Amino acid sequence: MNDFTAVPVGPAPLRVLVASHSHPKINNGGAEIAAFRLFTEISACAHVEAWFLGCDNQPGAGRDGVAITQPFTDREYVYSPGGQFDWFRLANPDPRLPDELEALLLELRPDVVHLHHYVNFGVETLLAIRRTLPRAKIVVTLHEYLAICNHFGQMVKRGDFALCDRAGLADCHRCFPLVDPSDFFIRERYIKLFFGYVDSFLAPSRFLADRYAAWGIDAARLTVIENMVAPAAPVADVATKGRHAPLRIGFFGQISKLKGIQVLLDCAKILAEQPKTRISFELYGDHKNQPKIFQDEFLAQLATLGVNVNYRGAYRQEQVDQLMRGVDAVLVPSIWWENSPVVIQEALRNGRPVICSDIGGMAEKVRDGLDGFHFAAGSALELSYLLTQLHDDRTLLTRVRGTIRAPAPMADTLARHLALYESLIAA
Amino acid sequence: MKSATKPQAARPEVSQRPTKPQPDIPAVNGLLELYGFHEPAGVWIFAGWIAHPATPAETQQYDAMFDLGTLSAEAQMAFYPREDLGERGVGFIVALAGRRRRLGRLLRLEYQIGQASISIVPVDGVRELADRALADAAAEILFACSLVSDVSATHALLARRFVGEGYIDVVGFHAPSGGWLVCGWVSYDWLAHRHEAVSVDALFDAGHVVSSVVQAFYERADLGGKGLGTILYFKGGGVPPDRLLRVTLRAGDAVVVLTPTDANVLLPADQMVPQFRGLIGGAQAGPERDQLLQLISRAAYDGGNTLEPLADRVLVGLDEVVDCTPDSIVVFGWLLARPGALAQVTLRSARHRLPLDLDAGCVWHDRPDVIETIGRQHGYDDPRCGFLARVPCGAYAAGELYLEVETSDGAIGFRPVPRPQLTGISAIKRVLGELDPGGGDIDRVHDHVTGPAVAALGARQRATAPRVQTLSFGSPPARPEYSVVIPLYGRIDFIEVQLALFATLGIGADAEILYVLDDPPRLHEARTLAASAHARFRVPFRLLCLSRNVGFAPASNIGARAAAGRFVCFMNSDVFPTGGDWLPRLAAHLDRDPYLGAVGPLLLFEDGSVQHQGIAFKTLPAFGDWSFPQHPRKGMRARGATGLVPEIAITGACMMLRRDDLAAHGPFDEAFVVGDFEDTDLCLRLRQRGLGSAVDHGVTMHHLERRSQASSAHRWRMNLTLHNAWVHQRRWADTLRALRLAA
Repeated sequence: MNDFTAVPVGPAPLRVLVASHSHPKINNGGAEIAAFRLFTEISACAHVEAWFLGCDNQPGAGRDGVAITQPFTDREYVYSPGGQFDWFRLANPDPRLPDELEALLLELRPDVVHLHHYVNFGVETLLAIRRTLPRAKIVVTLHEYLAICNHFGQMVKRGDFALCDRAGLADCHRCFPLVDPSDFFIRERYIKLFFGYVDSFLAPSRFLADRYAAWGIDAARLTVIENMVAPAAPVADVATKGRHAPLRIGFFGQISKLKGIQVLLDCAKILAEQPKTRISFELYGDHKNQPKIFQDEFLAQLATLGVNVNYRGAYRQEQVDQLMRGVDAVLVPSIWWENSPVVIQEALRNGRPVICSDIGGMAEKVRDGLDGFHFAAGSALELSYLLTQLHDDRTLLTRVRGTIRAPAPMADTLARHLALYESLIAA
Repeated sequence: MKSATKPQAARPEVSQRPTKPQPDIPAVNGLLELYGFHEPAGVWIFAGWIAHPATPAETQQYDAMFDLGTLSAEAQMAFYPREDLGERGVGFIVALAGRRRRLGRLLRLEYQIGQASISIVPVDGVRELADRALADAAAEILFACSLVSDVSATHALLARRFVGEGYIDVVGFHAPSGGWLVCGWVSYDWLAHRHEAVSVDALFDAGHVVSSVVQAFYERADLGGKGLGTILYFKGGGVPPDRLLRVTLRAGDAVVVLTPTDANVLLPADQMVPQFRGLIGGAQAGPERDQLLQLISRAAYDGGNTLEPLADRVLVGLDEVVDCTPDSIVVFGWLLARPGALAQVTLRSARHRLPLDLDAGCVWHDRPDVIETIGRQHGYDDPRCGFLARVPCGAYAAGELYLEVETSDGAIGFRPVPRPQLTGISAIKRVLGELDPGGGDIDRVHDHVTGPAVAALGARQRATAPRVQTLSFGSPPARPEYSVVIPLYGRIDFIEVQLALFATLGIGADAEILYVLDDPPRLHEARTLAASAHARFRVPFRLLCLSRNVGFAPASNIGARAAAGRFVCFMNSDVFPTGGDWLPRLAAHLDRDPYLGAVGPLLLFEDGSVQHQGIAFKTLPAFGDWSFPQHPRKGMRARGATGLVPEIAITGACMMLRRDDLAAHGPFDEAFVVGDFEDTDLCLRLRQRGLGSAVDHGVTMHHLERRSQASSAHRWRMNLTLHNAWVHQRRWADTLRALRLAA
């Protein structure tokens, strides 16, 4: 002990467990990618120790007799749910999870548990965390409106997909006539019971934050922080072609009804009637996860459409920058509110104007006339007028390319997250 | 008694073996002042006083030690204050049910309070009283006692007295109803009490039967006005040649003993019905005579179904019967009856009566098909009418079975029973296939229904060993140091991979490899692959081919018996070493530490996460709080620990032992059916003998355990796991509890 040399002791590192309802090594959704990116970025900080807990609900995932495993690395955990998730109450009856999660939390002893979504874990997990680590701060990043709306959290009416402004026992019962209003009351009570354990909710858009505030979450606990967006891959920009070249409009993402694919196809049909307007639609995305009836209808329409629609199929995440730079503008025609679509961030980081529905998170993230252009949500005709205008006057797009605001650099978003963690701990 | 009836089982035993001199006679805590046997009540009374700390609160067992034997029975002691004792103690009285025996001199009365033995010895001049005098003395004490439930019961018992006399002229066993008819006479002294409920205690060679009785009377001129002739019937009892020695009748407090007038009062089976029919015909008219006539007219089972004419319609279907002798017969079926309509359902053969216990011995399940097809038209709609009943069969060995259904109005119907057909594993599958694994009540279900039945089926199956054909590939080492025993089932192709690894990573010239093919249909495939693998890899090995599938423990044991090495390593065929020196490395631990009994490697999944690093036990509330083996850190990344880590138990997927230890404390217990729990069982047995288990984290292997498929087709498999867990639990619960407390 006589040759003991003092080692400079800094403050104890911040310990953060990031959890997500999936894992990017298993599934490729925006939320899990954002969660994993947060984990990777904070892991790189010198004064932070971080772990990731994802989920794998594929059949046969995991190991017999245990709920949480580590198939990838020392710092990554994967929960394999039993497959009995209650999508109405967002409850998880899996009896294995509480004990195993408790053991894991006691082993890692995080200062902050940051959940990107609570599905698959179940809202009761918030209680389990609080019970196990009463001093840890619980942060939940909200994605879509699942807690508010039983219709897949989309806040559009079941049936006609009309936009919906708020949840209400009678209104929700109208959407789901087989579910009694009292059950919607219980649903809301149940979810809010556990939301009470959350120290801070993060919303990637102000619009989403406002919706949750209107639903009853204390505004003081809501903070708007955009998801982390990776910088654009180093791809050479493609110069816009001359005004006689066709105007190429790109669509990126799930080929689904809510993403407004029908608006796009109807618009293509209208524009096909105007031979002088040379606008082509480049569709990138997967349709195979959709209901069979939707897939059949989509493929049937593709077959009868003219040459102005090109379906390119699914793409990999690392291709997106290159593909976006091959189009003149990116179209986001979603017929639901959206939150903060990753595709908008990707388009903006590639300097591509975004043409989007004039509602919700889309209207918030794309400033009309500065980052792109709005059109009346759901209206193929309005979209066709807008596109014709952009086709005829190419300077409109060129001007916007000069005013596009690139997404905040990752370092800024990272700093905001860390500052939030620190302030919660300090409080 | 062969077909022992329930009330008898509840009666106390009198052991006739002389009391051994006890090395540690407990301290004396009180004195006995009075004792004796009260014949009409059938109880021994003990009274005296004890010191305050020795007063037991609850019903518990008492042992009365005499120099010729011990009388043991459960009872509740009653206390009364005694001025003569002051603070020294209290007076007590206790009544122990029993029979008059030649017990000799009373030595002491003993019982336990917690861990302490309490002993009460006779005072000098202890009074031994009997019957009337005893009853009077006891009544005085009982009157002073604080009221516990036994006080009033004892009062009632001691009020009993012998009244009058009785004799037996003829008796006969009535096979169709499985009961005894007795004809004799009783004196008027007792008859004066017959308005009270009458019960019978019949003593046979083989023991007592206590039962209700149907009794009719007739005039007998030959008695000269002393009494009446009587005909009585009671159910149960022995089957001839068991002899009826006497019949004790009780009406209220009045007890009379009927003894045979002659040593040979038993009527032969063929004369019994006509003779008694005549006797009953002459009895005084009344409902009892009608009941006896109905009984005597009852047809014996003739192979047909006679349930339909029963006034209280009882619907019974029998789907399957599984022969689980010598333990039991398991019956599958369904039963629909009006509440209260059913008196007794009995499985019968020519010589045996095996009553069905439709509560404790039965598991009920839903049979909507029965309700749809039959139930609804008869007004039944509760689908919970399917049953699986275990019928303990005692000495029953073989013979045609039929079902006897008795309704509460005394009517009897019969129904044929299907012949047992299933044997071996198909029988086990059938017994376990109907249970809901999460159905709760699992202690009762396994203790009283499936457990003993499956254990008997398993024991019967392994009573005949499979034939073993040994094929040698290459020359094994003459004096091997290590024997690797690998059972093969299902994935035969793993031989190729293991042998390739042994060849390339090394296995050592002093290792013998013994594959045990426990999958007879794959014999040809296995031989072909073995020959080819030997040609390619040149690692010598033997292939022991079994004539039938026996499961993991028996297959491993067969391999171990053929092993010659100083060390035996049990290994699964899906375990793949990552180096070549694992045998000497594992063995070195056993050489170094004489208190180590079993050692295994760190086992990893294909993704590098932990499959096994030792076994811990976890009690599962959903399954009766039984202990189940768990693999700690399963699925997690290995921690990079090195060296030997002691564990309570390790997996049999790769487990090395000294062959001498295996001979002394092994082999794997084959009571675990198919395969489960035998590895932890062996580790716990070694532990009991002072030999620990450990995992060497420096030796890693891959174990490619796959996820099991959850489906209803595997329900029996899940129940089999529970069966094995039950065997493990009944054997190790105390050990594991002690380990938990120590931890």
